[in-house]
Amino acid sequence: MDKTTIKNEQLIDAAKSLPIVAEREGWVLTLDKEEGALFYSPERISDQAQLHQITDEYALYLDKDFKPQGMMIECFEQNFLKHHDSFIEELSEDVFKGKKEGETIVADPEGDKGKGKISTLAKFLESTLIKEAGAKLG
Amino acid sequence: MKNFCVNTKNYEGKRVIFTQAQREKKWSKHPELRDDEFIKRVQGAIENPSFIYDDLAVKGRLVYYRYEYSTNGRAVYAKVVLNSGKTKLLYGQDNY
Repeated sequence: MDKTTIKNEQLIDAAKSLPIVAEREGWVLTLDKEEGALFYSPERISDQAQLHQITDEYALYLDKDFKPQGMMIECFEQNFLKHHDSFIEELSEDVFKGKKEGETIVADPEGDKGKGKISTLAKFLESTLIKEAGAKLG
Repeated sequence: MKNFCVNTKNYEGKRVIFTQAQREKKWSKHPELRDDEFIKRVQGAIENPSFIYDDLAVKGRLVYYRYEYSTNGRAVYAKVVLNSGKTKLLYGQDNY
């Protein structure tokens, strides 16, 4: 990506477009317990993507046209879940339960046909990203 | 040594390694790790960090940052997480 001026509006628009891209491209939730990070992205994030920190918690991988290629939340379990409603922490535990430390766990929203816990968690991430990006950058 | 993509010493002279296996394990979600140029920046962050924090995610790990440049008020850093006795590199990423 050329090192040109990056406008806040471009980052906000990228956040707003994320739900459509994620659904169209079949993104999955991946919890890397070794890193402590949650990814909402394709199984393999594009070579062309660069990471942009959007808020204190949300970072987006964007291509040169600011199209989302993935979302990352660092310190997901240690920080993010503590800052949101306990419902979300319980939801996350249900989605990723039964896995040992050091494992990478993948949850596919397609697996619950857009109505179950995985999809609910994905939609929560999408909506809070858009809301917080607007508040931080708007 | 082919098994290491980074084999250097940190600012204190302590050896730090990043294995090729670990790099490949992490690069599906960290595309910058597929770029050999970025690996040079990872090595630079280890050898000459701008600052170092304790990792919030896991006690005992350290996070090295090296400031690179700013664009439109946004600072860009190379970020590197060190694991296992603070000498084994877990992953690195761009931070915009």
